[in-house]
Amino acid sequence: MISSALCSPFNLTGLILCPIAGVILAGLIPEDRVRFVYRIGLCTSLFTFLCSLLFWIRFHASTADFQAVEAIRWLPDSDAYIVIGIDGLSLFFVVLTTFLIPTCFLVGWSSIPQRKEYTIVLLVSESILIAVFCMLDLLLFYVFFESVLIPLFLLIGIWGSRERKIKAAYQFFLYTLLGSVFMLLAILIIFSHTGTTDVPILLTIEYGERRQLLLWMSFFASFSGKVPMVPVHIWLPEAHVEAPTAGSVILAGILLKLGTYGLLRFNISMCPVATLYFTPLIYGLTLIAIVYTSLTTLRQIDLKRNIAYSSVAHMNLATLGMFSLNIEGIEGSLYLMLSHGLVSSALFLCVAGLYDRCKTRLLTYYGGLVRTMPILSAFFLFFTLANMSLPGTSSFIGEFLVFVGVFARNHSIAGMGGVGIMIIGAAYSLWLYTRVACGQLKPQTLGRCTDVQRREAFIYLPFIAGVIWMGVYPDVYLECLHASLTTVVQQGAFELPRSEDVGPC
Amino acid sequence: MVGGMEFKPNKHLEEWLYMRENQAEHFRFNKQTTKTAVIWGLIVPFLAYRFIVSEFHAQDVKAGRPRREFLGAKGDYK
Repeated sequence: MISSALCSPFNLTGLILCPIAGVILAGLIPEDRVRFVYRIGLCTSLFTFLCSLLFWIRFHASTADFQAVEAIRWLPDSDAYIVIGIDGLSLFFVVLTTFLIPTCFLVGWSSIPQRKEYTIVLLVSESILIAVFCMLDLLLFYVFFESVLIPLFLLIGIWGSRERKIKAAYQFFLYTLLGSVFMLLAILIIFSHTGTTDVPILLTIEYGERRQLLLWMSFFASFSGKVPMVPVHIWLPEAHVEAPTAGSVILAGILLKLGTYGLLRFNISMCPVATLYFTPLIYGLTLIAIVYTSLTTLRQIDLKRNIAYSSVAHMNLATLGMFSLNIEGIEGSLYLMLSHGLVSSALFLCVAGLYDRCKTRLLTYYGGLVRTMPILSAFFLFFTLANMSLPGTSSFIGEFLVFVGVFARNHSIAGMGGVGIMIIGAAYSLWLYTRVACGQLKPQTLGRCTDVQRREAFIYLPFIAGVIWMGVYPDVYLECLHASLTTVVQQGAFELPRSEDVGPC
Repeated sequence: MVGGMEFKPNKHLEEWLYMRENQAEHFRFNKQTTKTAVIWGLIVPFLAYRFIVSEFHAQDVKAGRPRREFLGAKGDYK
């Protein structure tokens, strides 16, 4: 398991350090050549993306073992190692991260001040996010999980759009930090019990029931804020509204997935008995979140806030699918998360396109967009339809599998979730689109706006390709997920016991 | 900067937006808001939880196995 860690971009250490190399290069460029810094940032992130694709190509879908594992001794003369590796659960989150960061550079190409600092912050956040998904040491996972807050705090606090950005940045920081204190407590309990924080070893250890309940609650306190689940979701719409577009893309595309990834990796995999015990609680919280946030989305008047609340609903649906505790549900949940990473990010990019031209996100100022900006309207329509899970788009596959999984566990819950996400979801998506694109043209806002430029089209097209590819050929992704998820479900023994197994009542 | 136009904010709309965004600052607990908060914040989630637990227990009974134990709901085994 221990391998020499040569810093090549073709191993995981190199992939994590690739953006850091870009940071060093950017730091060496003088202030008067900032445009060059930005190009370095874009090229580094594109190179990192291409390197991450190599991991996907070389990934063995038939095994549930961690792959590309490296162990780096970080304290000389000791047994302290940084262990990194990927499996089916983390592979696509790494690829999604490296895919979205170049987009963040492209979207701020002409409108971002303080470009050198912006480049450094984006590259550092990319490096940390890749590290979180690859980390196979619980303590270091915690360190990187918390470290993500710093670049995003800066991103919202410095490049946010209004005065409220400071409040939003603090809210984001405190909400997510508060829960994480409990995770540290769980790590201490685990370390005192097992003497290790190595995740592959921890996944093989069986804990007593009371200890599982305690660990489960501690991890849940940390991850529920990141998902985010009701009632600790308030920070998300606020952060989205105040963040620059790159911040919104990272938040919706990657950061929220840290919560669900943590739930699957630690809560479900390490504490199966506690998971079954708390399943109704999760169902209750997610159903309430889906219905309440979907209804709340209907009455939003800020474009970004609208998409943010829709994100909360979709992420809670993904959590619902995850806790169906069968392969279809968990596969659907992961698929929905990947799809959401593309669709919601693309919707934020569409809103950024509008905001760059009209300088407002207030829905009341918009109307008749299709008359002045038909191409942007078409892109917006496509992603709106993908958001409401039109067949042929990636979200449809994810939601379908989630409902298959949840339906197998409980019909009524699947029905209630379906009402929330499908009916109300379709209502708010269509309502948003018709308010912006249809109806009378509002000349005071959209009268002389130009349509999408070539750079913007280059941003949207990979998203469209990704959404359609995932929508029509899901097997490419699902086969990589299958082996890892099968192991999670089998190790958890979540299947309901038969009456003869548990004896008489 | 992409091609756009000078944005002239509507004073009334902006005030309305400000009011909507800062609802938390103006929120006061009175008879009506307390009732709404209790119903939608406590009673509905509690009933939803009880319903879900009862669904799981009904599944167990139908399958002829002992009822499972969940948070706040005793079963025949955990």
